[in-house]
Amino acid sequence: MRDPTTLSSDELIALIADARWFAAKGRTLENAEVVGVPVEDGLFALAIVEVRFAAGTHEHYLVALGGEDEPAEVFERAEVATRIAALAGVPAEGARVRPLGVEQSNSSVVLDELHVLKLYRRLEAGPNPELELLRALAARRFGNAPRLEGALETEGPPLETALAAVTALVPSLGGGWELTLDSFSDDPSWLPDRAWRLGEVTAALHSALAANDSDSAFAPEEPSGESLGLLAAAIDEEIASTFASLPEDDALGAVAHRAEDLRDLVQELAAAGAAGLAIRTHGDYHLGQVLWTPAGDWVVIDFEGEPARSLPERRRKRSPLRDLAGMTRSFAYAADASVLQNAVEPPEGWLERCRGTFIDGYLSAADERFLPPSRSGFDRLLALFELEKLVYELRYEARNRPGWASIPVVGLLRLLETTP
Amino acid sequence: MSGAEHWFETQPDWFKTAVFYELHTRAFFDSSDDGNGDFRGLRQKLDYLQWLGIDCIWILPFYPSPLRDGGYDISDFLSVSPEFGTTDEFAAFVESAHERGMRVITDFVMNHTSSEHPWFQESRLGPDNPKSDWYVWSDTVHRYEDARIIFVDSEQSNWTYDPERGAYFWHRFYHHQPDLNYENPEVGEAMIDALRFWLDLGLDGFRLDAVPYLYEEEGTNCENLPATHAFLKRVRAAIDAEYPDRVLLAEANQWPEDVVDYFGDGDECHMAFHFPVMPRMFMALRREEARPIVEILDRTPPIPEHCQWGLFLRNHDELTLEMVTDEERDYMYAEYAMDPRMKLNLGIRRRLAPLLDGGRDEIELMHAILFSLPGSPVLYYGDEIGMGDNVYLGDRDGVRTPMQWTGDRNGGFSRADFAQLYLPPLMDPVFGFQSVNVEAQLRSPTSLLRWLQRFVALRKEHPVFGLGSYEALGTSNPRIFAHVRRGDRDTVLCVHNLARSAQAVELDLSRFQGRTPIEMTGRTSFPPIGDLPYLLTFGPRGFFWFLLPEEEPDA
Repeated sequence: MRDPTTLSSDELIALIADARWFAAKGRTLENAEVVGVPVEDGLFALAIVEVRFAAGTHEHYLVALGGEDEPAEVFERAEVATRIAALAGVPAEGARVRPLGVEQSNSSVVLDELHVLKLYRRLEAGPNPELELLRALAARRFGNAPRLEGALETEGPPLETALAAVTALVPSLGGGWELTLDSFSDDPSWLPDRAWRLGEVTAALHSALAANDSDSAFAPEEPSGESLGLLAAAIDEEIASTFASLPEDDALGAVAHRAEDLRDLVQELAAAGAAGLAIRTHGDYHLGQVLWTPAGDWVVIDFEGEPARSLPERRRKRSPLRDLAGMTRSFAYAADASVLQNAVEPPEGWLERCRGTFIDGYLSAADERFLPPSRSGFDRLLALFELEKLVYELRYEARNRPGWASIPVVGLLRLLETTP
Repeated sequence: MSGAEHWFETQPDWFKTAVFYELHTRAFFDSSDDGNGDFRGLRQKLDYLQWLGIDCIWILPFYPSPLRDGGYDISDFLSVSPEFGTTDEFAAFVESAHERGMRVITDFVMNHTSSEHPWFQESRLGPDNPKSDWYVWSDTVHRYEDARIIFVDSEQSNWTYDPERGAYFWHRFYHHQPDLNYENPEVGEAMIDALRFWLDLGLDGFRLDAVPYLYEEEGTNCENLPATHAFLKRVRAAIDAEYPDRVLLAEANQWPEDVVDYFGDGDECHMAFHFPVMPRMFMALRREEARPIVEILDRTPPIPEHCQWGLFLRNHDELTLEMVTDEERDYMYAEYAMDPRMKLNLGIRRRLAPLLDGGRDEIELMHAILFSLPGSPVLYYGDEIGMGDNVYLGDRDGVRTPMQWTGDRNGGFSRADFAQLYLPPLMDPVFGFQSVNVEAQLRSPTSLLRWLQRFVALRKEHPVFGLGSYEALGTSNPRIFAHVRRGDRDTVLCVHNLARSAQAVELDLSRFQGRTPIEMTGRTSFPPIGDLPYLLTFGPRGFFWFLLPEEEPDA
């Protein structure tokens, strides 16, 4: 095998530029260089590649190199995957390896249908939020998340970061997103019937994440006096810049002229009173992040946080209502995706039933210290976080999937109508 | 492994594209209800600074001090003054700032201590104790007579008689701030050890106060001496060896040709303040002409590659007029210090907004010029909301009043009784906390605060402002300040109208012929640059920043 440090800048760029986990697609690359080889054992190597952009910034990616194989496939080779698992503390020699797919920031394989080995691709300096959260949840015996079995971390140089994690494979009937979409054709009450439990599990997750007062990374914090003002200002700027660059499109017509109404709405919702304590949260919570098990319960997965946010941002303490908004928006997406993808219309009132049951289930089990003190304050803050999501969705869909832009448009109009 | 490395990738030039924010811990937020701001309170406000886009927080002195010079009279270099909290709370604040991607530097006074520092108390006992020559003692005042007196309003001499030792001690500033004697190598070692103490807590660097005065030499003005530079090189080498990615920022209120010496060959300070550019920006605005700014930048020598100027509009000191001519000083006093109470030493003790009569266009224009110049901008706390000053408070306290967070009691700064506050908050109808505060400005998209947040974000999108070359453009209109910043990728054209009336200008942009200027705040394309001089028109105090992309912009 070639010494990774001898790879040229062009070779390295060719290796990563098309990968799904390469976050900086479309930006002008200046050059790339191997800045560290934390694992090398003759068979393969894990190399840290620094990619530099014309703007003067850089990012780090983890690349598996070895033999004659296409680098994209090196990690999926059984010898390589089992060797990485062993380095992470989970001996799995001779295991059968099944590729699980490539996500925005990582790629995963299943070993012997027992373990999931995840290789982190985009590396950032600092504690890995997923390992941090899984360890905290295990310490609190939270049963509705995968068990962390091992991790491979490096102290640097060039940076202190996690390279890989091994978790127990969760037996499941499928992800919340697929199961919900499938349910519309034969059992549309499938999700509404399970939404209460989803709310309870979410509340238990938040309580477990907030249970450790002695660890400063987890101890709940009183938000500063202007925290809602800062949030509202950030959403307001987002609305202004999103609507200023909205493409001409009939699908957007219904909201295209409502920017000022939405900005007024922000001010109204921001008057939610106290927000409650800020805690560590899931950070990227939606139906795709929960599994339904054969035992009839929800399991929450993927604790990395939003891939587009920086590591310190993903580790920030926030109001748990942000997670709730992620989930309720995901219900709306599922309903509309069913129409757009499968031409199956959800029954009348489906979305309201899911959302209402989920929220009631959450409130039945939630720790009130994390919530606004009144129900009307709760509703406003939740609506504010939903508005934040909707603006992001509008920006993303208008640019990338105009056919889906109707989803946030409908959501925004509904929010404008229903907010008192 | 120190805190900073944990959170930041190695990026030795980080300070060149950073936006700095200077604040007093005492003035920012009081978490203990005792009337003084503290580090726990400051930590609670980090989300605000992160939202504003700050990269590096510069903290004014927080060391134990008798407070006869705003904390610059330090009586212990190795601890936190109790009213600000504990060393642990300081370290927790630094860690929280790092978590939010912000670095922290603090003031450090190399030149002198408080007369209450145990070192001085020991030294004054007589010529025979171990610290006897840690300070500069003399039996006569007729030494170093060519050194000027800096605080002309309060000091008659650089020598003060100490009856206890029966000798005179040397002080370049107040008579209660004896200068350390760097001829004694133990002094230098003790100071470098003090720096290590704070770097070990995760601090990202220091703003070194009053560095030109470390050494004295007969027959000189005792400023900028070679021995002083040699010592700073020793400090830098010690820090580079043990603490990468840190920054030393020199406060040397000198002409640029003398200040550049504090960069050494890139082996002294990473940054130094560019003092003389600041009064000239105010002068340019009053005279409605670009010449003062262009001239001072013309006479600014190039600096080593990994160094950077620190630029500011206002800071915690008076608007210093040491580095202007007598004639220019008279002009500045006449224009900006109508009331004699506004003068202090050789300067004007006022904040940005009142200096500009609260004019929003003027405040925006001055920020635009500041952000466009080669260097890293340093904002002064409160100026982002247009806080005022109180000229009836003594010394420089008038620009050090509590931060105005809300319209509530004490401006949201403290829940202590009003009488307990270290200084009264501003309550006048124009600049008082009921009309000028963070809470209200966050709510209004058109507020100064919201505008500045967007403007900081815009500057940070374009590293060329921190890294690029600078070239002034001659213009057909002396009221227009135009220049070009060029980086590896971006070329930016910045044009500012200093006049209080509408203006037009023709710029010779022939070397950019064929390019289409894109106005940077609204991404609007302007007519392409052709053969003829490029015509621009401005409203009063208006400005444009343009990107000049080489390729045709996407349709």
